[in-house]
Amino acid sequence: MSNKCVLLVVVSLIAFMNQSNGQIKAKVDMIFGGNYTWMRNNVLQGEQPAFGFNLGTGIIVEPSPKWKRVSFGLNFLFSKKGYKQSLGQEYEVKLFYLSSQWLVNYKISQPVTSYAGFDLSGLISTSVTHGLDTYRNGDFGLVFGFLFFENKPLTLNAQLVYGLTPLLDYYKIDQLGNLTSFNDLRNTCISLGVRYRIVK
Amino acid sequence: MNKFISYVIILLTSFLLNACSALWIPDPVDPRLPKFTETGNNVAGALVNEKIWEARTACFLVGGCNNAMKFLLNADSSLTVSLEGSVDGIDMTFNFTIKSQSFLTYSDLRLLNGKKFTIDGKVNTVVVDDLSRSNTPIPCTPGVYAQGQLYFVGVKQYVYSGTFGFKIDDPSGCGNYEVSYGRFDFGLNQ
Repeated sequence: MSNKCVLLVVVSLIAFMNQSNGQIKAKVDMIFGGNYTWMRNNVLQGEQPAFGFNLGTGIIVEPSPKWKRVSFGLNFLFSKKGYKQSLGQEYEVKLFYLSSQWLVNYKISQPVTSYAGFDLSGLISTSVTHGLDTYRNGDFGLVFGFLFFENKPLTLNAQLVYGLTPLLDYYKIDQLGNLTSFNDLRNTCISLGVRYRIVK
Repeated sequence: MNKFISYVIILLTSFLLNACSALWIPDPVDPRLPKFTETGNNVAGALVNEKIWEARTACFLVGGCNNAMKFLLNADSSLTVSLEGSVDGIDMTFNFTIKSQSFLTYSDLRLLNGKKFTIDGKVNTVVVDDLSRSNTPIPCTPGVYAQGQLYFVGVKQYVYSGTFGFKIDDPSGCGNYEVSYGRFDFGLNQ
């Protein structure tokens, strides 16, 4: 998603909230967390998971006081994902993304809120030479997660991002050199972290 | 003024070196090898007996480049394709000889586009010039026992890219080679 679209959505949300005369409540959090990421694939050799991080901002919108359990979330994250390969020596591919996550939250109990939604990510940098030409620049995935103690200033956050779009369009090359094209490598990312409330 | 001239020299040198130097992009599936590309990155790679063989065109400050890929038109209308690389820093060159087509002039090289040649040790052969075996007392004629393939995936505007793989089980003691997952991508102007 382009920066202009993201800006438009944020401005619209703020404008919408201002017009609601207190009907709508919005909270803004800072998000920090660690990532455990790997690729679902059929092509990589000696693949191992890698560790990364995510940081950004999250907005939780409670649309009406009547909706006691349902709210909406929008996260903007900068995150490091990727994978490692052990082939005699270790090779690591670091993939840096800017992501927006569009979520529906459901309060299961007082301390536990679950959420689900989708993730739109743009690859902005990699650790690999010409990595932006090698890997697809866009990624779409599903998001599932839990917030613990969501009404407290410091919230625990556990999240799974299940990438649906393949990141690599390339060739499988056999020992003799025959080429078969494929689309593969889908991101999977488990995050554990905290959200610190900056606007109540 | 002197500073300006220095910058100009650095810029010109960078430009001249970049014009033919190697660009190694790691393969996303097996990062030990270069990515298969068709853009004239001037690199080649393969696994030779599970060791990494790599070839890169090297350019010199005094001018000129040593192309790691060379073509030689032979008197019998066959073509020799040389890929000059190394394993663990020791030179190892693959010399493919293709007889299954008439190569009379260098413009015939465009006919290689999309061609897959079976290396059978008789019509089309490959010889491994292995410097690590240069002191071997046995006179070697490897290549007769070669089985494999050389595939020119794309030949366009002086860019030659393709793949190769072969096996040599030489009972005469010239060495056994299993060369797999080979790929090359060179931009040659002459």
